[in-house]
This record gives sequence, structure tokens and C-alpha cells, in this order.
Amino acid sequence: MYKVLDKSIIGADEMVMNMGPQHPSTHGVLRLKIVTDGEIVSHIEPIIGYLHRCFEKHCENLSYEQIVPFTDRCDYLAAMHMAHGYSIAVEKLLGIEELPERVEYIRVILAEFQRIASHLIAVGVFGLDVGAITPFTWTLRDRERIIDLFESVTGSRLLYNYIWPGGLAHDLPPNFIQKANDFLNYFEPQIEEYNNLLTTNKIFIERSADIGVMPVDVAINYGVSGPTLRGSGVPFDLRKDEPYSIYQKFDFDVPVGEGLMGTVGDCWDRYYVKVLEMKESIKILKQALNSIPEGDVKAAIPKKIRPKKGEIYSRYETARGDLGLYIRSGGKNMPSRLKMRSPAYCNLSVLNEISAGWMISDVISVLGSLDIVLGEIDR
Amino acid sequence: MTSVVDSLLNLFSFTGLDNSILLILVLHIPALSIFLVMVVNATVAVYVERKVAAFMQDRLGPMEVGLFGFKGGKKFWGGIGQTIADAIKLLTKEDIVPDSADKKLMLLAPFIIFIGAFLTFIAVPFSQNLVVSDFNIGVFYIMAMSSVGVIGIIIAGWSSNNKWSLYGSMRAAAQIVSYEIPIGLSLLLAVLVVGSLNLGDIVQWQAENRWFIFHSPFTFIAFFIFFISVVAETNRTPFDIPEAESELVAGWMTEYSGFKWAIFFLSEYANMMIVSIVASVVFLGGWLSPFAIINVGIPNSWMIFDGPLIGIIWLMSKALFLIFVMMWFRWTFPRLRVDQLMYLCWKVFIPFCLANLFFVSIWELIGGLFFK
Amino acid sequence: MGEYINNIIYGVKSLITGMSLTLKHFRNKKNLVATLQYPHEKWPIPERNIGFDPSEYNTIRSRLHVDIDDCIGCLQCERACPVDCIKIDTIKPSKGNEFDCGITSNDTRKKMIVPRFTIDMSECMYCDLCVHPCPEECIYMVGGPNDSKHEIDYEFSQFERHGLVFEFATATDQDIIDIGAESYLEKRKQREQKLTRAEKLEGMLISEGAVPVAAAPVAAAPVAAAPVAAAPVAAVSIDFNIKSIDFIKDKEVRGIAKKAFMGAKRAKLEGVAMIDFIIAELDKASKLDVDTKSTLEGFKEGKA
Repeated sequence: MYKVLDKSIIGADEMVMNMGPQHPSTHGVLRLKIVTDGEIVSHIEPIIGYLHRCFEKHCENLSYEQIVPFTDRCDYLAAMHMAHGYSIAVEKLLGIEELPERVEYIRVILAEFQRIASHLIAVGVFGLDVGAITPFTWTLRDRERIIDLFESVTGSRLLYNYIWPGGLAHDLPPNFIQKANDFLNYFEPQIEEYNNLLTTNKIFIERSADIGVMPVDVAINYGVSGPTLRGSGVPFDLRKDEPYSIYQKFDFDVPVGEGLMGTVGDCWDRYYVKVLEMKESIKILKQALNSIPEGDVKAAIPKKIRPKKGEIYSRYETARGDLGLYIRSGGKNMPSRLKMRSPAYCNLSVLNEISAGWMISDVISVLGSLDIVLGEIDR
Repeated sequence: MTSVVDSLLNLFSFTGLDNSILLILVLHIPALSIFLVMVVNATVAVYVERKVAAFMQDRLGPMEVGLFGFKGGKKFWGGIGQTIADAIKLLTKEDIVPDSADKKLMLLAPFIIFIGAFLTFIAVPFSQNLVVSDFNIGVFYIMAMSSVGVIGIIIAGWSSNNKWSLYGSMRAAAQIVSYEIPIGLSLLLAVLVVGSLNLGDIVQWQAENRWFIFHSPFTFIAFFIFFISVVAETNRTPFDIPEAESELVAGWMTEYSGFKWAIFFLSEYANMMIVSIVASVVFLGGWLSPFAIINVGIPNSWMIFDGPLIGIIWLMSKALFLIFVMMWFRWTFPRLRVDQLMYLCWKVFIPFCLANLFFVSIWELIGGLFFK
Repeated sequence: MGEYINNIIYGVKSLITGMSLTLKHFRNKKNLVATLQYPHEKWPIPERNIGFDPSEYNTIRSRLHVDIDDCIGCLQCERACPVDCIKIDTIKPSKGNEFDCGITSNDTRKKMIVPRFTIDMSECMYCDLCVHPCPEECIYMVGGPNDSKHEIDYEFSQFERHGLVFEFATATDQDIIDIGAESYLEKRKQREQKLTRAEKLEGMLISEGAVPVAAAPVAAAPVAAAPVAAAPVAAVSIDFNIKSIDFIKDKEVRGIAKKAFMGAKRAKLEGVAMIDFIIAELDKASKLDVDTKSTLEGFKEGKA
């Protein structure tokens, strides 16, 4: 961290910079108001709302089935997770205890594939933010293969509307298991390539290690969750701590930041946790693909979703963190209130705390390591 | 070593004109040739850069635009007309000048940068006798002229009246001025050994002895320091902090578009060419064939491998390889931060350069005592 | 010092690792290039069995298609659509009308005709929600069941936005007349006129008043002559606004008067001419009694 000079000595003044909403590395339409003294940043104010679509209000006028495609559009890089989290919430609201085994397996498989796809973007874009362009194209190349898998399953490539409350839109295609295994065999060695090209690169370490350190207490105070929290060394993962779906059946670890290259909780740790999580996802996928049972995926879909009066709060571990959904039902086929606690929103709020006092270049690194998606922040 | 201007003066001496008038008339020929070299170099280099980038990133790069109906190879090297199409696009684009910009300075900046690159070419030799003017202070002149560009960069950043541009130009100024020092100190080794600032003399020394990079272990290190420093001097990744796309949008070029921006581009690639040629002339034997790496007793006037004409090919292949390495850097590495860049220059390169200078002097002294 | 040297050595080593990796990719491009040269090469379409059995449903989401012969007009798809991009009109035969609406391929007798079935593909978000509730399985994403009837079309594109509004209904005007719904034709005509007016932005021109006479609708022309005659009288300042009409007690009459006031305002009448116009309108509706008339006349002289 750099000390801002005593202004009275040199008569320097601060300058307000406006980064975004049109800027190459604000990951969408985020605007940062940066107060700088030369290269050194003394205060950052994220200004959001450029992508606001009234998601929560809109949901009050849509039936429960119709909301699913809109949840997809919140976190467009992990659409499967949002639909899965929403479906779990609605199932709780309806009181559906047990789903067919096959449904749960397919959901977990797709969610883990989606986690890999989303982390690939995060890893590649972090490289792009610090100036390395090649890792980005390599990760996108591999993400493309996951998207191909999704296309064969759901019919679309980015926004799926596949996981529905109570089940799935339809079953897997016949040769899906084979294709998924092929992909995993192809993908595992690729992680080593990313590590060689980017993770262990000296310049990359210089740019990310020891920078934007987020201590555990700061992280918890700001409600940070997901890989960003785990980067600070807290092994908190809803898949382990409050297992939903059938995650308790699988054997996997929760990787945390250890400060291998610098301090615990720096940008490098937040980045590396994502790389390790991809490996854990591969572990889960291998177990799930080997033991997927037969069954009818539409058996438990309710004919009409009209929950009784009541309310529910449900949590889900997306690729970015803890997605909370509060739904209050007024006994109609539309929710009378839906509130989403989006993980990236809370993760972004910590930006000023951990990057004030660093240079402009470091603000970009920190922002990249937080891995935000504006569609979910603004909703 | 005779220069191009001298030969042209001799050639046209039959006209009987006064020498100074003849000089003015004759000068247009090398001037136009230099401009042509710059344009062709930029056109080819942009295409190659895009292709190199694409292949390293598992892509194909430009594949669609052909030239006179010929598209190039079907599978990989297609789209050879892409750069020309891009150039036409840039020339016909609207010239956007921000309302609150300093319009005169903004117009002036691209030309200063261009002139810096253009004038440097005067002393850059392409082969034996193929140099516009054979300065006896060639090394010094090239160093001086290549740093003229930084004035243009500062003017461009200031006149754009954009905070990003200002940041970019300030970074550029700090960076280029700092990296002049390791460049100068590395070139000084050659001057120290050869005892001349003339590039022709330096190559002559290499013809008589060996490539300068193999003069001693210290010059071997010096070559790498020199090469990395010139990469920084030309503002290319991993040292592209003045343009730093993900931080400063486009740095000092943010407000430029169309023709002016094309001139920046032209100058950047011309600078790459210049520094590559200088590196090959000073360290890699210039226009000598690789058989002169060590003096194995083959006469240097062996016409098949050495000579003014074939020398162009040797020099160009060395320079183009160095340009390729620059591209290779760019598509592999992340970008350094400002202070890390300064750290690299002042705390790594300059101590090593000074040590090199000291040890090469000792080496020469001992060599003089024992080997002569 | 040791750390300094170690740093440099590690740096050089890791940089060389990275460079050898990119060089490997550069040299091995024949196997590694992943680009698909789009217009020349096309994406392989995921292969699947085709049929209506949910377990083997083909899910390529290319574009919506309707087999209108099978549509019974149940409006399920219209209701399922979250973005309202499907618009359907249905007409039931009036009582006693023996019009034959036809039979679907599932042998369901249709009870109504569908004169309008438009899908605006520029609004569609390909969520597939309309496909599932259809009882006759007649709306589907192309590439799904019945794909023999329509080619799979990934890159359908149009030059104008209108081109993306697809009309699937085949009911002719004669059918609509036969079924006894002339009023529907009339309504549709009005809607089309409204649309064409909206496209020419006529409504905007009038309210702005930027183009006064040329853009004024023809209906206003006859009264437009009035202010010329009345202009000299209007020299007395007349305090007359829409609140002045409130003295009329009868709701119906007041409504007509207010409508007339607005009409006069639109025709750019003022003062005396406006009051004359209102009186004439009330007269036309034969709602003009003596009191009202005298009060209105009173406004002309400037008393409230």
C-alpha cells in the first residue's frame, strides 16, 4: 500500500476520474468514480444501475413458471445456477420434499459444468485485466465446449430455461454422458496450461500477489461470499455447510486461499481459488456422471404452481457466492414479493475498502479478482 | 562505407549542377524510399502480428479480405488484403477532434512522432553502403532521434484534454526517458570495444572478430538487457503501460482516430523496425552472414554469403526475427505496473549495465595484455 | 541479495515457460486452432430423436413455427409467453351459424377460427415456454418435431424489424364474413389505420403544433375558417377556460360542452369563435337550453 503524500508540502490536488460505464475493464456497465492523487487511488465509489431491469418488481407480475427465464438473465454467465437456486426456493415454498433422483443428478451435473464455465470466464478475464490476452482466448475456447454440451441438452447456448420448479424441461440427450466424459478428459490437462501460462508467471504474480488484501473480518463485515470469501481463507461453501440438492453424496474439498505467493486474501489467492474450484468441480462431475440413475425427469413437476400463503428464504451457492432468494406468496400464481440477495452485489461493495491506497492498475486487478457480473448486481 | 546520398551525388554529377542544389533534388529519392519502407513495413507487420497473435491464441485471425481476387492460403494464411482494407478505412474515417481539445497541438502531435521515426531511418543501415547518410556518430544520432517521439506523445496526451490521455502520456514520458539509460549503456559497450560511434565500423569490427553478442559473457547479457529495454522504449507489451488497454482505455491515443491514429500506428511499427535493425547491427553482426559468428577463417568477402546485396537479406531476417520475438512477448505476457516497470529499469537493468561496462572494460584490458 | 537474484532467476524461468507454451501453440496450429469459419462452415446441429414424446424432445431453439391448421385457438401459448410476443385473435361462430372451422390432425373439432396469430420474433426470448402447454402440439421451435415442414434456420435475419413479425393465421376475409364477424374486419381496419398514422408520427406533429395547417387533419378544415370572421370581435379580452363550463349542472350536457371545448382548442379557435363553436355543438346535440345559452353568450362580453 502506498502513502499519499502530505498535500500541503507539494501543493498537489486530487483528481476525480470517471472509469466507465464505457471502459474496457469494468466488466459491463459499471461506473467507478475514482479519486486519484497521481497514480494512487484514495477513494473509489462504484455507481451501479446502468443495467437495472426491475427484475424484482417484474416478478410480481409473472407466474412462477414465467420467472425462470428472467432469473437466467440475472447472472448471464451462470444462468443454470440462478434457475437452480430459484427452483429450489419455489420447491421449498410448494413443500416439495423429494424430487426424482435423476432430476437431482442432472441438476448437479449441469450446475458444476456451469461453475467451470463461469470460472473459466473469471480466470480468463482476470488475465485480460492485467494485460495477458492469450489466456482469455484459451479459456473461452474451453468454455465453448461446455456451451456446446449445454446446447445439446437444453437447446440454447447462454440462457437456458432448463431447470424448472419441480423438475427439468426435458431429459438428457442419449449420448450426453459420453460427451461429458470426453470433455472432462480433455479439460483436465488444460488447467495445467493455464497455470504455466498465467498463474505462475512472474509478471502476473507481481501484479496480483499482495495486492488488494482482504482480511477475514473485512470480508465477513461486508457480506462477501463465494470464491471471493474463500480466497481470504474462510472455508465457507453452502454445498458443504448447508447441503442442498444431493451435494452431501459427493466427495469434494473446499479450496481456500493460503497465501502461496503473498498474503492470504490477495488477488492471487482469489484467482487461484477459482482454478482449484474447477478441479473440485471435475471431481464432483466424475462421481455424478458415473452414478446417474434412470427416471422420469418430469414426474414431480406440479401442474399448476399456486403455493399457499407464506414466505421462504432459500440459499444457493452460485459461481459468485451466496445467492439468497426470499419469496412471499399471497396464494396466487404470482409471488407477491420476490427479493434476491445477489452475491456479486455484496462482493462489489468491498471494492473501496480493499483497493483504496493502491494504484489505478491495481484497482483493475482487484475488480477483476472480485469477478462481478453486472446483470446480477443491477438486476 | 559510402552512403546512398554520396552515390547518388556521384551518379548525377554529369548534370553539372551546383552540389548544394543537386543535394536538395537528390534527397527526395531516399526520403520517398524511407516512407515506402515505413508503409510497407507497417502493412506487413500488422498482418503478421495479427496472424501470430491468432495462432498463439488458437484462432485464425483475418481470413476474408483478399487482394485482387487472391485470398492467400485457404487454411491458415488467408486474408492477406486485410491490412490494406484497414488502411483505406482509416484514411477515409471522419477526423474526430474533441470540442475542448487544443486543436493545433492535437494536429501537431502525430507529425512530431512521425518525424522522430522518419529521421531515425537516415542513419539506419540496411546493408553495406545502403545507408542514407553515413554519420560518424550514428549510434548517438539514432538514440537522440528515437527519443524525439516522446515529445509528440506528451503533446498528444495533453492536447486531447482527456484524463486518460494525460495519464498515458505521463507514463510514457517517465518510461521512455528511463529506458534510454540501459539502452545507452548497452550500446556503449560496443562503442567501448570498437572505439567508434559509426555503425559501419561496428559491423566491420564484427566481420574481423566475431558477433558482438559473443564478445564476452557480459555482452551476451547486455544484448538481452538492450532488447528488453527497446521493447519498453517502443511501448509494447509487457511494457505497454502508456496505452494499457484495460486501464487507460487507449492511453495517450484515446481521442485520436482515423488518419492521425494511422500515423501513430505507422510510427510504432517503424520504431519496432528501427530498434530491431539496430539490435542486429550492433549485436548480431548486421549484414554479415551467420558464418561470421566466430571467425573461422572463411574470408568475409566470400561473395555467396556476404556482400552488399545479400547482406540486406541477412540483416532483414535478423531484424524480422527480433520483431517476431517482440510479438511473441506481446501475446504471452501480462502487463507490468508503473512502479514495477521503474523497478525493473533502475534496480535491475541499470546496475547490470554498469557492471557490464566495468567488466567489459576489464575484459578488453586483459585481452589487450594477453591475447594480442 | 539472495532474494533479489532468486527473483530474477524465477522470473526468467517462468517467462521462458510461458513463451515455450505459446510457441508450442504457434507451431502446432494445425491441431489446435478452434475457429469455425462461420459463413463457410456451419455449426453441427445437435442430433436428437424427433418426436413429441417428452423424453426425446428435440430442443434446438431456432425459431417459433405454428402449424395453423392444427391451432384450436385456446390461447395457452399466449398466456404462457413471459414477454407477450404472441398475439392471437379468435372468433367464435355466432349462434345458428353453420360455419365449419375444420378439424386438427389430432381429430379435434375446432370451435373457432383464428384470424390473427402473430409472433414478434424480435421480442421472443427463446424460452420455449409456449411450446409445452399446447394441447395440439402445433406451436414449436423449428428443428423440433415436424422439422420436415420447416428448415432449421439458425441465422434467420431480416432487413427491417417488421420482417421479424410473423403472421401465421390463414383465415381469409371471406371466412370472417361467413362466420358473421364483419365488426372484426372493421376493428382491424381501424387498428391498421392507427398503426400507419403512428408510423408517420402524425400524432406527434399535431400535439406539438410545429406544423400548423399542413399537418392538421382534414376534419378540422371546416371550422378553421371561423376565426377569420370572428377575429375583429375578439379584441375584447375574454376570460374563458375549461373551468368556465362547470356552471352547467347536467353531467351529459357538460360532457358535450367540454368535448366541444377541446375540439375547438384543437382547431385553434379562441374566444368568441370558441364559444360560438360550443353553442353550435350543443345545439347540434339538441341539449341547448335558454339558461346555458345566455350564460355562454355572457362570456362573450367578458363577464364571468
